[in-house]
Amino acid sequence: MGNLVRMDLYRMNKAKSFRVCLILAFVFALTATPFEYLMVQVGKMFSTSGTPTFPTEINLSTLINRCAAPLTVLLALLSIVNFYYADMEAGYIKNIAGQMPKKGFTMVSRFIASVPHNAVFLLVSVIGSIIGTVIFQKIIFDGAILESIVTFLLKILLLTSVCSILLLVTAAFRNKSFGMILAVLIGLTLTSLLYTLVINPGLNKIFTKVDITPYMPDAVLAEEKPGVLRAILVSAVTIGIFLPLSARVFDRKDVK
Amino acid sequence: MEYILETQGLTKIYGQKAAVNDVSLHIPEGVIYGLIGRNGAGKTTIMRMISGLATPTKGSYSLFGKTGYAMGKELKNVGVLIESPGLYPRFSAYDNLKIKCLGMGIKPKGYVEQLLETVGLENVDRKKGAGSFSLGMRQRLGIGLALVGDPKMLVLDEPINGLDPQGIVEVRQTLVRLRDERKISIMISSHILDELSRVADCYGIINDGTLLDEFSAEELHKRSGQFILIRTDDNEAAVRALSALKVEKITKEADGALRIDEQLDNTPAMAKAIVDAGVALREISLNTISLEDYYLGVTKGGEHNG
Repeated sequence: MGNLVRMDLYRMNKAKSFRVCLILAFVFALTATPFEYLMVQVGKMFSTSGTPTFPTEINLSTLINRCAAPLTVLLALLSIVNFYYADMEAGYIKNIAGQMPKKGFTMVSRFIASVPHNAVFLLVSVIGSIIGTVIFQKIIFDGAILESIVTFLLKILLLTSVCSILLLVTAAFRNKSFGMILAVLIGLTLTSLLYTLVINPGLNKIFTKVDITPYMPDAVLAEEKPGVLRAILVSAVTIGIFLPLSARVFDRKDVK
Repeated sequence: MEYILETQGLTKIYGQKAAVNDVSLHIPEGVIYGLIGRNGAGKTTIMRMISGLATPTKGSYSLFGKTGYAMGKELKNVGVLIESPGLYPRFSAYDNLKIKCLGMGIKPKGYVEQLLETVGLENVDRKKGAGSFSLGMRQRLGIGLALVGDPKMLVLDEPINGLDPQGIVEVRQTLVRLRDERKISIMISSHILDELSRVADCYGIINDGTLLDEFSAEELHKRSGQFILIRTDDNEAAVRALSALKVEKITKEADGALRIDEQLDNTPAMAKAIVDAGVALREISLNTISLEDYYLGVTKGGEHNG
C-alpha cells in the first residue's frame, strides 16, 4: 500500500491540473484581502450613510480559520476529481490494478494521497492570505493560535472526508462528469441549499424538527470554527462509509 | 506437464451473452502462446480475466500452480498489455515507467533506463510526452510497462496491431529475446497469423467464446502436413505426365494450381516428367499448411456461430 501511495503522490505532483489549481488557490488567497480593501474604499466613495471601515489589524487565528474558503475548496475538489480519474482516463489503471491482490487497493491509496493534497491546498491558502493581508493590516499573534491549528487540521480531515464521496462517484463508478458537478456544488456551498430546501423539509414530514445540515461534512467544512468532536465524528462516519464502499465497488467492477 | 497458467471452465457472461464460455486452456512455462480468434471471439476477455482486470462469472484459474488468495499474490508476476497501451500522454516514457516502478516498490533509478533499453526507447527525448509517440513507440512503451517488476508471464493483446513492418519486426525480436533470455512465458493474441506463427510455440483457437483447439507448433506441423503445388500452362497434359509416375492424388485448387498430397520427396522427378511432356512448368514447390489454413479449417472459415 505504501508503494501505491508513493506512486499516487508522484503522479499527482506531476499533474498539471494539480499545479494549476494550487497556483489559482494561492492567487485567490493572496488577493482576497486586497480585494476586500478595495471594496471598502469604493464603498467609502459612494456611501451616503455611515462610512464603511476596514479594520487595521487582524488575528492570525482568524486567517488560519478561514483556510477553507469556498473557492479554495472548489479548486481543491476539482483538482482531486482530476487526480482520481486521471489514470482511468489514460487507461494507465490497466497497468497496475490487475497486479494488486485486490483492485480496491488502488482506491485506498488514492484516498490516502488526498490527505497531503488537501493539506497543501489549505496551507497554500493560509500562506497566500497572510502575504495578501500583511500589506493592508497588522497581523496579531493572538492566544488562539493553537486552537486555530486544531481547526486547520480538522478542516483537512473534513475536506478529505468530502473527497471520499467524490472517490466513490468519480473513481469507483467512473463518472468524472458527475464528480465535477458534485465538486462545483460542494465548492460553491450549493449543497447547503439542497439540505435546507429539499432534504430537511422532506425529513420533517416524517420526523419533527430534523436538521441534517450540521452533520454533513461539506456543511461542517464551511463553518469557520467547527466543533472538534462533531467534525471528527462526521468525518469518521463519512470516510467509514464511502472509502470501503469505493474499494468494494471497484473490486467488483471490471477494469476497462 | 507443468503449466504456468491453467484455466478451468472459465466463463464470462455480459448480460445474456457469454463472451467466454467454459474455456480450459493450458500455458506451459517459457513459451509464447498464441491465442487466435476473430474480432469478438473472446480473446481480450480471457486475457482480462487471467490478468486480474475482470472477474470470471464462472470457472477458475491457477497461476504458477497457485489458486485462490495465494494466486492473488502471484498476479504481480503477470505483466499486461491489453488493447491499447495505457499511458499518461503528457508524461514522458521515463515518467510513465517510473510511476509504475514506484507502485511496484522498485527503485526507478537505473531500472527505468534498463527497461527503456530493453524496449528500444533509450534514445527518445526525456521530455517528449508519450502522447506524441508513434504507434510503434507506444506499443513498445506498453510492453516496457508490462515488464516492470520482472514478471514471469506477459499477457499481450494485439501488440503488433497497426505497426509498420519495421515495428512488427522490432516487437517480434523483443518477444523472442524475452522468452529466450529472461525465460518469460508470453500469451499473445494477434490477427496477423503469419507473424504469430513466426514466434509462437503453442496455440489456442477460440471462436464465439469457446476454445476449439489447443496445440503446439510441432503438433500443428504434424496435423497439417505438407503438399506439392504445381503451376503449368497445361494442367491436363501435366496430369497425364504425372500419372506415368503413379501420382494419383491430384486436386485442382481454386486458383488453377495442382495440389499433390503424395510422393512429397519426388518433386525432381515430377518436374522432369512435366517438362519432358513439353508442358511449361511455372512453379513446383513443397508447401506446409499455414496456421491461417489450419485456423480457417478449425473454425470452418472463421464463421460466426452466434
